[in-house]
Amino acid sequence: MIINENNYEEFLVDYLHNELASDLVPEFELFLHTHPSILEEYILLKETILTPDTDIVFEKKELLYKEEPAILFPVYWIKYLAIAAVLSGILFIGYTFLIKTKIQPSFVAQPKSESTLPNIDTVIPTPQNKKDSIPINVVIHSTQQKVNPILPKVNLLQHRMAPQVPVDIVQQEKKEKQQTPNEVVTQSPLIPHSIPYIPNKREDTIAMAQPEIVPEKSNHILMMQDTTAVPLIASTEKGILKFINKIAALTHQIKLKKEKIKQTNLLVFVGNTKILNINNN
Amino acid sequence: MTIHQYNQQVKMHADDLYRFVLKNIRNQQDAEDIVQQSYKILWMKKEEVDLEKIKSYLFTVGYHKLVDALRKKKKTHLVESIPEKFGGSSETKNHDVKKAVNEALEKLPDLQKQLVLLKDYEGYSYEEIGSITKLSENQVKVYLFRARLQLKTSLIGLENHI
Repeated sequence: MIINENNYEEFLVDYLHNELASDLVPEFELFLHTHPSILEEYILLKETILTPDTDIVFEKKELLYKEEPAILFPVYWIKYLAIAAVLSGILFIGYTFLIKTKIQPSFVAQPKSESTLPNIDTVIPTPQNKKDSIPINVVIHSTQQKVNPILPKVNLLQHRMAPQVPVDIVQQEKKEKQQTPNEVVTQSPLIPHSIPYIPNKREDTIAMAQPEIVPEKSNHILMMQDTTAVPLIASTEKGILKFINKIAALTHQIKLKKEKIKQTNLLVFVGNTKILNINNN
Repeated sequence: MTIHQYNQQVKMHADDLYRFVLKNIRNQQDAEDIVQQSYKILWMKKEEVDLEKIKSYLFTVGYHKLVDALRKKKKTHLVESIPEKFGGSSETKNHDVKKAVNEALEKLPDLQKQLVLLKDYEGYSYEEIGSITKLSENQVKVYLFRARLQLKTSLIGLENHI
């Protein structure tokens, strides 16, 4: 046994203050019970342990506290947010109403007179049963390649009244007529028969049911003016853009295939209003 | 340490610190001043003090402020009136052991009294008390034992008187 009557005080004070190692506690407790006088001393010492008087409190804590910064909720933000929300709602409703207004009138594309819309020769009526579609007329307008004209040196006095036509254009037209003497632009098989087809001298016209279908014909057909009405879901702006991209790709394809095509114009009409003119030059 | 954390420390430890200081200095105004000074220093050192050791830091500051105050008090030989609820000589006659111990406590040397209060009131270990008072653990242990023996003697005298 480590604890004895000669060294117990050191263990006693540790045991009294709960500082005695846990492995020594049983041994010391046994020592206490075997030594009544030391146990009595321990009881007296234990009575000297003070307990805090909880009635004593520091009553001036307010002197110690620091004021925390008040969390000021920015009220003006709420006002601006409310205004923004109302405006957004109005814009959304207005936009929706505008779109529906444009869709609901059953647009039937009517051919315009040449004076007002000279390039559109044929129009395909929009299907009436699709109320949610936007009728879009697509006109692909391609012109023949032109060489920089070289005006002949002529006596202005002699040719005062005569129109001055570039020599190369005249020659080119003659050449083309010689090369394709019997070529008359005929209606593409893709074109519905009900659609009138009016060929033009310089700008033949063809109507395509599907804009991505390019009729393989002569150069004259590529010099075409195409009018079609394509149903499109109106509520999707993305769909319109996708549609236009297809048309643009088509015109580019035409240009690539035929070297003589100098420029291609893509005209998109909503109703009778031209909303887009892409010069794919 | 944020303001919120500081205020939490006031709420948690101000009473304990005040109780410890008041028991030693036995003057309410002095005890309040020491507590306020301790918290003021804590706020000034808020960036340096570890949150988990704030109580120990507070008692360390309070202890040294207390020691300084006691030294000044001894020099001026002021006799402070002791509030009745904090213990007085008249209460020893009530044969109340607790009050007899409190009276005996007042007779202890300042250092032993402070060690007893740190041990009994706050439950600090020898090591923590040594850290606060700048004493070794063995010194703390010896001083505490001596204080206990003196308190026990007062109790023995009380029992004999009864």
